[in-house]
Amino acid sequence: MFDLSSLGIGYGSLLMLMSMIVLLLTGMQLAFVTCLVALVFAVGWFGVAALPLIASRLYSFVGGYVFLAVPMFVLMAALLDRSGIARDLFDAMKVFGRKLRGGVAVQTLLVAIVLASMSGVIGGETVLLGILALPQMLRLGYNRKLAIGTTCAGGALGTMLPPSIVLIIYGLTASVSIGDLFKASFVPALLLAASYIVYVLVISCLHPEYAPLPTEEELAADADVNYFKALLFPLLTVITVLGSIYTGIASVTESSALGVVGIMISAAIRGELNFSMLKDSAKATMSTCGMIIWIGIGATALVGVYNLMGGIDFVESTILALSGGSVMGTVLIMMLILLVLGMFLDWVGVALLTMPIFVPIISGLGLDPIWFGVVFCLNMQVSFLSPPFGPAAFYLKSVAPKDISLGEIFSSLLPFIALQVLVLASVIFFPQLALWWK
Amino acid sequence: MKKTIHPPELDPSEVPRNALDRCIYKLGNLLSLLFIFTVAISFYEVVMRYVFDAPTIWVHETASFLGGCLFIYGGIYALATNKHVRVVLIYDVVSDRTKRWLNVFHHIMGLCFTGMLSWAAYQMTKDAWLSPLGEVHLETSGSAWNPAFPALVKAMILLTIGVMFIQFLLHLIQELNGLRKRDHV
Amino acid sequence: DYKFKFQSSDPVGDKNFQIQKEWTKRVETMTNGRIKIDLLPVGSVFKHTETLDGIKMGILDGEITAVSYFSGKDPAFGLIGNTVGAWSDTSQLLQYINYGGGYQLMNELYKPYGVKFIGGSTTGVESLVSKVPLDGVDDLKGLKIRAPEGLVQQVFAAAGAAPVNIPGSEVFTGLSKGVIDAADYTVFSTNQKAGMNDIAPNPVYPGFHSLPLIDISMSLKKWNKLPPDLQEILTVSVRDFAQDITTQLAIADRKAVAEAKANPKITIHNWSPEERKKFREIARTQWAKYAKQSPNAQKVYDSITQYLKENDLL
Ligand code: NA
Ligand code: NA
Repeated sequence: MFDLSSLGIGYGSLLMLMSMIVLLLTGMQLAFVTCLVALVFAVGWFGVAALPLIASRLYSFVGGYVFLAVPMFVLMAALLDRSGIARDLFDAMKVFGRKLRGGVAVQTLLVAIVLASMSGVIGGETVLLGILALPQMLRLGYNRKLAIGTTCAGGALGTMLPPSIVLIIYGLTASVSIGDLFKASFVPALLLAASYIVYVLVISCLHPEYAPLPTEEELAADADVNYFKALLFPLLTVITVLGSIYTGIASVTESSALGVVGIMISAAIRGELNFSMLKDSAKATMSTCGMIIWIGIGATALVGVYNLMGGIDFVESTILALSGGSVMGTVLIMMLILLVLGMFLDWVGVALLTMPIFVPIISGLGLDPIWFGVVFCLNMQVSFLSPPFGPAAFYLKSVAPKDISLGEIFSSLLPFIALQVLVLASVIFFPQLALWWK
Repeated sequence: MKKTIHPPELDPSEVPRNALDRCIYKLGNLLSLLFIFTVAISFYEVVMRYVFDAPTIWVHETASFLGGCLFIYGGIYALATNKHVRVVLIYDVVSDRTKRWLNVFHHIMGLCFTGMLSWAAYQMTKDAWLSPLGEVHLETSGSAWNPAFPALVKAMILLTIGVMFIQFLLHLIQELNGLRKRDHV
Repeated sequence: DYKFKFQSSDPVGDKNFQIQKEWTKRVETMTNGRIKIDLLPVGSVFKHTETLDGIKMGILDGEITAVSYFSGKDPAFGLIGNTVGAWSDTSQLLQYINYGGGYQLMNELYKPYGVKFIGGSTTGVESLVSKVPLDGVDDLKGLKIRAPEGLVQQVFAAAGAAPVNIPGSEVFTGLSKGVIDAADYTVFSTNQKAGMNDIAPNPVYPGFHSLPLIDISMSLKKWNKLPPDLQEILTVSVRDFAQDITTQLAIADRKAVAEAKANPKITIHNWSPEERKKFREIARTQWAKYAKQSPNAQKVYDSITQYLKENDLL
């Protein structure tokens, strides 16, 4: 019938990429696009006998213990958002929003940092901030793009600060210490968050109309925050999650489970815990996980077929040929590949696809794989925001007011993508930012 | 005082479209409670290990097994409630009629992929349930506890992909019916 | 003439993978380019426990992997793949595989899967990473130790330890924070390089617990199509590979041990022959239990115990 392998790996890769992009643009579900392309290439390249490979990869992917951290983190976010904990935390941070121009945006980013130290997945945080912070800023008359961008970029920080599922998966594929990765990501993560804050302050200074101050009335209306109650429970949760990872009571997956228990206890003490809340949270977890994990399934299927086609050698030799062996050239080509793939694929797919190829090259060049892990994580920050496939934008869209279109979200994100690229460049040129503790 | 931020109603595009989808949705809501069960046993493990110095041999594998089954089920659950992510830059701006034809195309592609994958999953499941000599022997995890979870997860995959095939088929029929009715109005 | 895809059970960054890659290059040279083996890292096509199926389906042509990964398919693989306490050093295991019946037995076990066992190897006696000083079997009581699935876990449990099942990726953080006291991880040099001995400064070396059987195997159908000269080259090259990898790892171990000895914070513990013997006796009671799980496992048990008896190794 048709034998794709006669194309050769070069044109094969191109055809694979093109067919994926075309199918994606028709609006077909990403998870199914990658599965379909993987199956068609398996049959077209190797024949029908190669099909069971896809089933086997599906099985291997869903059974991985670390992926259990995904539903735990999602469940945690769902519970947080159904209890009043996150709302109280946000209210307590109002202290920054009062007198300062751009204060509510800064407040949003600070809450994002706290939430990011509880959660390790992308999604939950963006949804939370989209529910809590975005309406607040819109009501105060903030510039829409600034409000949307802050919410989305802040929400994406969840995987930049430890704990982070991106760093965990990188650690697994590159076989480097996850603890070291967490340590190394800390300064770059704070640098990224700081760059957002500075941007917000500068732009609201230049354009005061972008970030109006609250009126006297509004200030009077929310004077009665119980700081103790508002800060106690989030802090307890951060301490449970990060504490159990760093003090080592539990593994990362177990720590996320402890986080869920921590939030349940907090909600119970606050008198908010009931069965319907648990049921709703579990339901939300099922549908979010179904979505995230199936994207991963599609990606892992595609990666398996591509590796079998000889993709690893092809990409490796292409990179080395293009860079002519120069260290910086190689790194920059990799960054370009990561940025482009990040536009169309989910981070799980990008990690599974590129890391087995990139990490050995990086180590071979004498560069530190821990540093590269942080660089990779920053790249994935960009991928969360970059169109047409930008998970953070999708999550925000799912909770944003109906008149906010995906196009508007993506255009709001451009300045934040620029900041991400800036921080990425700093970490590439100044590796000490990640490796100062070594 | 507290505002409900999550309306109990689903978005119209996310309402299950037929009896099968409704069943999947209802069963999924029930199964989703297993996530909380998974949290509970993981918590139990931490307490047993840290407080009583007596780690269990079954929690880790049971949690992975439940997670694996739920992840797979999540695929048909998200399909029944139209939650799978798409790139909607073009999809959202085309006319309603074009969108329906795009849907028809997606359902047909879905049938292709679940059709191929069902066969693949059947091959895999067969190997996990029968020894190479053809006797029934369920593949186990090989641990000290040694449950037959691998064989069960593989069977779950086969079952779920089969259901997904029927889902796509029903969606296709509904979409075509919708298109025909529109044309006859 | 022949282009094969083999999958390794090691990641690319690993020293093992590099040594395996050198083997594929050597095969290419020795066959004057008639056999070209493309070596894929762990997980690139199949999960490490699924490569046997991959070969059976005809998707992979071969594998370089630890036999014990297939324990779930047949406990026999668990028993022969890591016969805890049977071998004191790598040469004893290699002698059993090459001259003591192991080769024939492995081929018999793999045959129903359509797989040809070209030859066996091992990494080396693994060192045990530990935070607390361990000088004998009694110190194992209540020890929270991370151990891989299968026989190893059972033996540690029988010795009074509390085996914990955490993935390899979490061993480092687990140890540094005291989730576990000790871990069955890998050979000394790799542990040292990964910084394991800095956070758990009481390694037991040489280890007493684990010596995995690594195999290089390929599709039986494709093997049968090879002319005899190529079959012979493959067989001999794998026998040399076993020498190569165990020697290289032993040298790396010695270097790493010297480095660790120079570090005042690390104390290397070496068990006395009496303690090793005690542990071996506990292990042996578990072999017998394990053997009851399948007829093939019984075959493995009989073959190994008979070999040990004949060679006065019991
Ligand atoms: Na985080
Ligand atoms: Na993107």
